[in-house]
Amino acid sequence: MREMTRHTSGKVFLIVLLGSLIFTVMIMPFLFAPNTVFFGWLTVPLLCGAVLMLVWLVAIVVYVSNFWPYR
Amino acid sequence: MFTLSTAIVFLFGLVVLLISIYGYRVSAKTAEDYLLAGRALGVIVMLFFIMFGVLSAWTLFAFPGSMYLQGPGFSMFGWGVTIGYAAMLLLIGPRLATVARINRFLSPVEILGERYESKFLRVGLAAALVLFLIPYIGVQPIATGLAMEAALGIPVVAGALFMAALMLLIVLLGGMRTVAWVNVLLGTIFILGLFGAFFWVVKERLPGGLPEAVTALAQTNPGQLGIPGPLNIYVPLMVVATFIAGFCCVSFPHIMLSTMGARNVHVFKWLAILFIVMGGAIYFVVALFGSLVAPAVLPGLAGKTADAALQVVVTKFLPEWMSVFFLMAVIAASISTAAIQLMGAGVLISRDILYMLKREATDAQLIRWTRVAMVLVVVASFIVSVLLGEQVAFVVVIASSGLFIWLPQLWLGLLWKGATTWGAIAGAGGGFAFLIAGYIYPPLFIVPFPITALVFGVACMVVVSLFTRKVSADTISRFYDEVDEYLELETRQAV
Repeated sequence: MREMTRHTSGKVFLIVLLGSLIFTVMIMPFLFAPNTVFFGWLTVPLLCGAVLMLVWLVAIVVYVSNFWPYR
Repeated sequence: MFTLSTAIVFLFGLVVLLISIYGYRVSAKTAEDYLLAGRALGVIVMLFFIMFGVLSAWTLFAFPGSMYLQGPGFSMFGWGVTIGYAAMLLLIGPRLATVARINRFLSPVEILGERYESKFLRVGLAAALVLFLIPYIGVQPIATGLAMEAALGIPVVAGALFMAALMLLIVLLGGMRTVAWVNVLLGTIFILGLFGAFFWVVKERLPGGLPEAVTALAQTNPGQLGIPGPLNIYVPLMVVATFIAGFCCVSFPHIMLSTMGARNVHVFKWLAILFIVMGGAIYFVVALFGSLVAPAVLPGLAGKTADAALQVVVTKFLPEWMSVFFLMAVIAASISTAAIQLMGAGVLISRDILYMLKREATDAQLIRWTRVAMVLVVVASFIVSVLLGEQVAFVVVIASSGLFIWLPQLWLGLLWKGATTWGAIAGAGGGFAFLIAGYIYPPLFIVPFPITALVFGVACMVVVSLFTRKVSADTISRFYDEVDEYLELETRQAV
């Protein structure tokens, strides 16, 4: 993590991870009416988890492939 | 009675035994080889090793059981675990493994002892973590014994002894390398059992697919379709606290130990990616199964039966052989976790407690101490489980909380040069004291789970570190400058 704080792309990466975490855990679960279901089967807590996993996955793949000093 | 199902379970035990014997034959018989698999584990073996060290029988029992009763809000715990480990593997994993490799450290607590230049912290933390691991290890064979009794009619004690014997054989024969290899087999069984059972139950009982389950629950139990859930538990504070509690599982000492077995820094970037893919998929399916499918196809379970909701659904609706296969997934989850926990406890006792008393110990002595320690830990964990009886689940909750408390010492020690010896001692002492006080007087836990104790520990550590003497320049150089140089050199050589 120390190496990530030493360059701009690393700082952006850490902000994306933290921001997505705060959004999907602290804000997104409470944006919808109780018992809202997406696609006929996806409940809100599961949607939040799926979004969080997806954002982190894309962010990590992009960062470690292109910007990580130890890539 | 010896049935085909029983024969399959014992055949599974035989395969595990053969892998252990092979691991013993190819091991180098050095402490580094026995305790850390020669620091040579690659991406796939490490992935299964860590993943199924984290996923215990709880993942297939109480976790979906809670969602069966309380709705999908508890899935936040699974997301916390997955994100926590991905973060650990990418943010501190490379540094942890590298500092251990350069300095030939054999235990994560040894790293902290050297980082904070404190034998007291090293021995104290090791002793506390072993104490917290013991009930956790003890509950795994008992859970397996109960599952085997339910599915095969084998007495609980026989099932628990079978599991304990298997677990001991794995760790005694081949050490960490064998545990890692066996976890690939156990993890594969876990994935096949879980995903196979889920898709089969949906196909058999829900011809309209998952929307049919939603339609059924909307009529009978609409609270099951979201937060705060049917029991109104998952209010905003609880949702956030559940996620943080899952995230804190990243502090399990046995997983930190396994991280030190990585071959090089490149393993970590793949591990972080694959952990999110595999962990996310597993928790997603368990959450769908526990919160949606099981309550829709078999409503009305309560108490301990609800805890075993997935096994009950599989046994009721699928053929007997699939029920046995699912049971094997449960056993696999138990063994994979307990074996790593046992290995971790053995290393902490031998390397961080006994070694401090006799520092000129040879590799052979260190390995022997670790083996004896592991046998004693199994005996102690059995005694604790039997003595505690019904109370064991509550003690495991406290023990898990105790394993959280060294998180600040580890993360801040690796990432913050300003963390001092007294800061670390104050953080650990403050965290443990708050935890114990909170269990005696629960209103102290302002936030659910022992998160308040963790925050208190972090605050103690940071404040005291700001006002106390820094560690020596030599230690700072070993833990930061030399690690940076090594990682840059390793990266250049790889290019």
